[in-house]
Amino acid sequence: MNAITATAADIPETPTRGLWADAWRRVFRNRLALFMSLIVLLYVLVALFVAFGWLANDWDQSVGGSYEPPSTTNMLGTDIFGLSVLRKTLYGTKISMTVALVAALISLAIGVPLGAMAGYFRGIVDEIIVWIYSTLSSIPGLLLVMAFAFVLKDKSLFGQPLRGITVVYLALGLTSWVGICRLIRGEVIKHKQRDYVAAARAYGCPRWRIILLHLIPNVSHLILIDFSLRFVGFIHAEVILSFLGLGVKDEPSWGVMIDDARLELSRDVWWQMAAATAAIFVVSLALNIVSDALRDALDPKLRE
Amino acid sequence: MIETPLIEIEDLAISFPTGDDRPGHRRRVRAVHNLNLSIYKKQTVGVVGESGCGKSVTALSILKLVPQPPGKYESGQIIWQDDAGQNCNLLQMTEKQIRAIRGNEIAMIFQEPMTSLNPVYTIGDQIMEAILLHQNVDRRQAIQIAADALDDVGIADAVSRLKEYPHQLSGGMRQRVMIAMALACQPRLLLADEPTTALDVTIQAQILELLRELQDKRGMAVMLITHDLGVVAENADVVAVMYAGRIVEYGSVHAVFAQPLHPYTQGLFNSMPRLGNQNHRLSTIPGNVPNPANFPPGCPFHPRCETVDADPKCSSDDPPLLEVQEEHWVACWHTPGYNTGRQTRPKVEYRREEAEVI
Amino acid sequence: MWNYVVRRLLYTPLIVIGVLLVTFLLFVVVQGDLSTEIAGRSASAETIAEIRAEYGWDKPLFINIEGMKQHGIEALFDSQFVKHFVDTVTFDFGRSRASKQRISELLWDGAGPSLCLTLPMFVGLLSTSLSIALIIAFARGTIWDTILVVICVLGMSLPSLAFILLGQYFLAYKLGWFPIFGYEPGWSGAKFLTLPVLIGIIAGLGSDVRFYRTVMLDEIRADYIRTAYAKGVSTRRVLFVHLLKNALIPVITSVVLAIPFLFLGSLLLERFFGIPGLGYMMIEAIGNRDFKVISAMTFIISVLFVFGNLATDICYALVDPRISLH
Ligand SMILES: Nc1ncnc2c1ncn2[C@@H]1O[C@H](COP(=O)(O)OP(=O)(O)OP(=O)(O)O)[C@@H](O)[C@H]1O
Ligand SMILES: [Mg+2]
Repeated sequence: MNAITATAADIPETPTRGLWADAWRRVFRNRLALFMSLIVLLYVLVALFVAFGWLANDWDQSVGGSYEPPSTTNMLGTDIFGLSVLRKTLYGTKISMTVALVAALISLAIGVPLGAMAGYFRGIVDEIIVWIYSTLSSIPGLLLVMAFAFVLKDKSLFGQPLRGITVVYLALGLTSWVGICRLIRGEVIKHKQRDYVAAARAYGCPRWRIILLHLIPNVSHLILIDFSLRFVGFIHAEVILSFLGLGVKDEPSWGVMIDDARLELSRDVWWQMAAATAAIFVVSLALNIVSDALRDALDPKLRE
Repeated sequence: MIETPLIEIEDLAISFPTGDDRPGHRRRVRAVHNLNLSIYKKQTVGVVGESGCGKSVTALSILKLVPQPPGKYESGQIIWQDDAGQNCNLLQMTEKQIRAIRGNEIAMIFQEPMTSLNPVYTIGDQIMEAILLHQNVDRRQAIQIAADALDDVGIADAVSRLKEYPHQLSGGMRQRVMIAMALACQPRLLLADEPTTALDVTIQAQILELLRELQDKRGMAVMLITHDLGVVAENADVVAVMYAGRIVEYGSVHAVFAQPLHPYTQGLFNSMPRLGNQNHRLSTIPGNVPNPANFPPGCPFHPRCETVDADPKCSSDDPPLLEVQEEHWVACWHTPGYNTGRQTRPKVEYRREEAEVI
Repeated sequence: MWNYVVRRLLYTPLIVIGVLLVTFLLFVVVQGDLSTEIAGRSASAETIAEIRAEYGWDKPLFINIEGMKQHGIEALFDSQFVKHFVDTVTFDFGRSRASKQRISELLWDGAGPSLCLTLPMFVGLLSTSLSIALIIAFARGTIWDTILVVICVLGMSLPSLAFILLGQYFLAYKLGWFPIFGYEPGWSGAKFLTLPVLIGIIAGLGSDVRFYRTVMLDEIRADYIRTAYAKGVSTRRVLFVHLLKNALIPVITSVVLAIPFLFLGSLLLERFFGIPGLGYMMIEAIGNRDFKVISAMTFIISVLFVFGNLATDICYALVDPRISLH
């Protein structure tokens, strides 16, 4: 017989920390990730301040002449209309954060329930949902987003014409739920076999309750990782859509600023381009590093 | 006449970083610490110990397969007696020299038969790779040698099996393929790292039986790593008990089984079910194997040791491995006769007679 | 294996039908009747009616019960859905609003320049990032590994537009190493394509190298690698024979994932460097609100993508012997 298993069996295991507590500990130990989360927080705060009208709400007031280079009065210079590039950049933060957040929420609101349903009910429901997402994922992402944005542009919803930013997050949200849906479906199929679900079913727990209270919490860490990764993608997509004229109009966004800068560069006006690019670069870098740390901390495959 | 061992490991120490990357916390710990061990021709040395005590690292170090980084050879040498009877230090060989030894003179089979074969090549390709590397034969001859090797490990219909992929075989079959691959070049030393741990009990017995047969037929030496004392009793000539990267007891299988000296070895025996004393509950060794990152000072076993109560010497000084009886070494301050023990290199030439059962 | 391939083949028409439904929903149902916009503000009711008839907006969406009552049973299917279906399947997409050219011809003309740009970019990107990843796999745990990973994350964080704008500004405009703008068919066009191809490769390198590095490192820790070393195989042979073929499995998937991104890259690149490919046409069509062109483009590229996917799955089956079991 096996001597070692006999010795190991009676030894009480060290109490395992909860997944989340353990994850927080890991993220906190990673100084770089902590610093980068603070940067993301800063962007969110700026976005909130702009949204409440405390910051940059006077972006449409001109502060000087056309194309003034950065100086002590206008820290990031001015654009063709003499508007402050700094204020436009700050305002763009709000646009970017809103787009990314709302688009991510829309894609979660579609992807999570569909994925859970497909994985839980299987059968014909599963077939149909899989067919829908296989179709959507067969259309190159950017093309699909562009097609959605193109069609939604100048349409109205409930009698209100859609704003540019609304078109952007609708187009992004409606097209990007496939990844999370597939993920949740796979996890639900896996977890359905586990004992705790069988037990819940045995004492007559209704299906929606099992999905909501037992299955979703068990995959929430995957949702968070997916969310943080998608955020960067959405910020970059807003830039491209606005640049193509399918996105934000009548207000400054980082994409609109880069689109303006395209023509300014040949006149050696670099500050608008630099400000928008730097704003995108820093938040993307921070999010990339934070999502890496989150994945390291939460992905069970990487945990010993 | 004194025989020279086929391989002699002297004062080997291998360290790994603890994995704690915070500044000021970076440390290296020794997974193997001042290890001495010899294997003679045609001998089977059984190495036993709990999970994580450094058995695999010891075996890997012989072939210089410890991943570097993170691993690092801190000290020691491994003297190998080559075909011509010359001694050479494996650890000082160049990459090219050691490659000529790997799979040719010294072969190794691993703990995990399910993942140790490359999934995208046929088993024929994988067995033949070793043959073509080390033997001066053409492809047709290599196929023949590979088929014979499969035949030797009891796989029927060898020629057609050569075209199969690993996923088409069961775990026991894969381990047979691993053995065939290791033995295809007629090595003089086989490092068998828990060859049966991952297999069913009945398959385990078959594989061990097969190894024993092949060893007799080929006359090779085997380092048999296991954590099962039963396997040692049936197969080994010499036993080395490892704990926390060191050898704590060493001797011929008779000496160690007749009178285990180290409290850890005694614990292992007491936790082994035996016929004849069913009235006893199986006892266990209390506590856990210490993580190498925080080995206690002194004797690494003292926090778990039940035989000796609170002796300050145990928690301050690490006992060296001393020969306390003829051909029986132990590392414990409280062994009778330890104070008069001699500091000698652990070497036992003994080989059991065929079919001798303990 | 053939079982698997046949199953994938049978699923493909279902996906194509799905794509067709998506384009129908978007460009017919959601898009709706644009006749007043097309006709202009001062158009007469007759012109509007003409336009509606031309685009089929006067017909019902799915089944034409009115038509059946008047003209008999075959008129039941005289609907926008059937027209869209038949037109798309026969590749008869009508004419572009702006240039009045047949859309199928437009697409055919655009494919050449697009391929001239994307193909070298694709091959260059794949081979460069794979080689870098293999080198990292070899130098893992050293300072070079860390430096390269940092560069990759930095590169991933910069939006692709910035790569294009900065590349064009510095390398073509400031330093004058490359022409700023233009296209010529044939070999003489190479001088125009070099810079966009280069920018495309550099912009994609960050995320690709990082992904392939993870793949390689996952594989290099695998047990079968240790087995190969234990047999006495040389490091080079371990990397190129044992590791690479296993790593190819995730690489193939990522190659498919990369194709839409290539389209994205080339779309912007074509726009900036004046290459008259599909991406350029797409951007023009957006500007002209030429929805038929966009619809046709969406369908065609998606179908190409579907077949690309199919080809990958077949490659899979060729590389991975385990696939037949799935
Ligand atoms: N690549 C590595 N990196 C870091 N530490 C390692 C590495 N390989 C081994 N170690 C350390 O060396 C110690 C000994 O490991 P080893 O694999 O030799 O144990 P073992 O006795 O073979 O156990 P098992 O019975 O589980 O196979 C382990 O505690 C481990 O922490
Ligand atoms: Mg081991």
